[in-house]
Amino acid sequence: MSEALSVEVPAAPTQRPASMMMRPERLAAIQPSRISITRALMNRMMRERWDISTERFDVDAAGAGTVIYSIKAPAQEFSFIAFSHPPSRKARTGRIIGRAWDMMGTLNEGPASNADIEEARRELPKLYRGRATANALVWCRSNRSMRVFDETLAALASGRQPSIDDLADVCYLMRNTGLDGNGTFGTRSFPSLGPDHALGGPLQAQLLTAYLMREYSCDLVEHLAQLQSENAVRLDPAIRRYLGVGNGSALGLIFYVHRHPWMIHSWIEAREQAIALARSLKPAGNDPRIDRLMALLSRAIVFRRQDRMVYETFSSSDEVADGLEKIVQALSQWKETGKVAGAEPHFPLNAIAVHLEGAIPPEAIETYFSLLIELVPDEADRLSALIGGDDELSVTAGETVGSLSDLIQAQYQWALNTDMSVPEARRYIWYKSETAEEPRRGAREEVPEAIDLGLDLCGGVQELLRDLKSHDADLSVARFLMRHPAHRHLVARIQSLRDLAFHTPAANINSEDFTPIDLVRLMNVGIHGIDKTRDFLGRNLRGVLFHGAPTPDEIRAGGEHFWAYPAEPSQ
Amino acid sequence: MIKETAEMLRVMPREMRMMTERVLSLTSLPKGFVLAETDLVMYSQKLGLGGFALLERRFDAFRHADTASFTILSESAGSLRLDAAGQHAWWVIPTLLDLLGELCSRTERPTIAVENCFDPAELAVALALAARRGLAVEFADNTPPVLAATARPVSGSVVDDDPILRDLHENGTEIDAALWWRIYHLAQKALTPDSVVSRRHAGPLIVTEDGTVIGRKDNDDETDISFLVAPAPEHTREGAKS
Repeated sequence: MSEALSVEVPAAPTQRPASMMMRPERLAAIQPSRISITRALMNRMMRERWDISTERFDVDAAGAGTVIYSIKAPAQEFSFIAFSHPPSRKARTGRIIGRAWDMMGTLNEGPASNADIEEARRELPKLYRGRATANALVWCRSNRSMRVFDETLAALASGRQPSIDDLADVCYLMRNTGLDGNGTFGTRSFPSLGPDHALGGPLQAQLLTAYLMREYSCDLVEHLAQLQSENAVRLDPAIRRYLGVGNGSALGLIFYVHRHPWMIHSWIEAREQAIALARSLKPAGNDPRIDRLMALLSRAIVFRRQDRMVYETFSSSDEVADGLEKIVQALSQWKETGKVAGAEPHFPLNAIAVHLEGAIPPEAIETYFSLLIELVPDEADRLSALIGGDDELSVTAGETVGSLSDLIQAQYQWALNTDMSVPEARRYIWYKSETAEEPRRGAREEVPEAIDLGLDLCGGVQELLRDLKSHDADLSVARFLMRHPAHRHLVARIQSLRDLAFHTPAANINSEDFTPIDLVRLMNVGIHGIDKTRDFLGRNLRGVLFHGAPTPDEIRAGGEHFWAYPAEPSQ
Repeated sequence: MIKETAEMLRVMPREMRMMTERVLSLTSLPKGFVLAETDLVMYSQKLGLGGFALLERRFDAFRHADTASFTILSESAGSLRLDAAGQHAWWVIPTLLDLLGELCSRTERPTIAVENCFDPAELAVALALAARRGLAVEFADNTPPVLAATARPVSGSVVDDDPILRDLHENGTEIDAALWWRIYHLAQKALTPDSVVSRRHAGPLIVTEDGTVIGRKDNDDETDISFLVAPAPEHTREGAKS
């Protein structure tokens, strides 16, 4: 054997295992990235130079009126029809049980016809009793952040810009209080949109609607200021870009995670594959990609240092910024010496992650991974386009009981190992209220009449395996289910997902130990791409969508640039 | 596209599945069965069979449904007789498709005769649901009814393999509006009545009995605290300006 062949070449980094990634606390640490739906959608809108324009802005000084936007993608046109209402403080809350909304709207396919507008005007206020037109994609509602909206309005009306100190405490003028689509209220069914539809990817229609809420909020405050004063000024474009749209999310997303295992798997897999590709890069110290990475890290550090939010259970932004600075130091040291932690690494970007894992907050490591994805943009966008799936389960009837038992023992050890005999394991019940169908989670004894809507994976898998073991291993699943119909859903789920790695968080959601906010955070921060997500009571998140996103003028101008992690505009 | 009229509604799969799941959760059917079989009523509706009207009509009987009571009376050379124990055709269909799928792996054209089944014409729903499972099913509405199956190739994409589901996603299905709203209100019974205690089970803040606010203190969303502690109204189901 030659000397050259005897040198051991380390294997390239691969995607992280499901046993690590599917732990709730790791899912909660995932940070926004190019794979997040808001960022992927906005980047595509910029590349394709979508044209968003205001067709009608007919709102009176009290805030009542009608607004129409036109959204032109390269091969498709959409319209956003919004109805503005004067704010009411009665029955107002960020929860979906609220009954006061400052804006209700619909995102439709095609230009807005008079019939569409009048139908929406009549049906939207009925909400659960309303019916959408056949071209409706999403119905939405939003509320003003009263203090910030009013302060901004007063400033603009008096001819000055709003105070950044005031804006930065919230970072939005209006909050999303509901996005309903995919068949709800008769809206279009998303599986029918298909891959060639401009909004055919998961969550794209909802998140375009959220972006339009942001534009609407800025247009509304400018419009009302102009109605108040001839001396009114428009928002500085830098401030307008800095403002996102608020978002509150909570327990309903745990239901979403369990009902969309293909989507969850494909999104996590796309991100993990992109990260693995980036960790496998072997750049030289003077590679321009390293300069870009360091610039992005610096941008993220400034963003975190300027973050004024207070988090209850997550790492503070200063702690995250400290961690990111350690990454920058390690990168700088490698550029200077070629070494990471005293060794010359084959894969330096990977070596830095390995070196700092556990030494800095997980949010900092995941921010680093998110920024690494920017070094492989084409591959990341290709992987991003693959996200989705039917999310339909079916039974494989010919499989044997023995084979299914083996599958469960191979893939669900985490569930089998969960102690379901202690009272704490079943302390909570998941249900929906009659009022606005709000997802709720409470101690079982407090709502004895509630029907349990949660997916009890741990208890269900343990009972299923026990029953499987009570039959001959050669028995078919068909005949097993004839005797045990209660296991039908779980059997279909386990069989249908057998080839996927990242479909189900390893969590007993009924347990005292489970923190719902972890999975809400996976959805909001990682998948949606929401920044500054403040947590409340371990179950609610409030954050900022499209924080720093380009304005319609910038989208129309085309090109693509990194817009996330906006710095506070200077005043 | 189906045109809406004043009397008919175009309803979509998500809504039909949700209403079915909720209504069936009020019956004796086990949760694990209900979650797996929310398409039965929707397909029946789409195929012009009993659909949601039948669900409404049979609801009281479904309170005593027993899906674990079926027995195989005889079996030989790909021919099987199943006793449905007087259960409704919808609840037998999953077992029929399972058994036909299993038998198809070792027999060319298995058949199952279904005895003692209620509303047997509804067994025709099995023909549509079989597509995504890689089965082509024929149905002879004899006494007893007989289903025969052959294997058919599938692409792996349920929407592509199942033309009825694709049509449902694209066009929904028509339903009498009054019937739909009756189903909607029946389904609402599966939800939990609102109460001050229950309101504490969600949201960024909790108002305790003594008025103390736990959780989000800045009240940046201008929550009307009185709204959270008010007694539940008589009728709150719409939760909207209706």
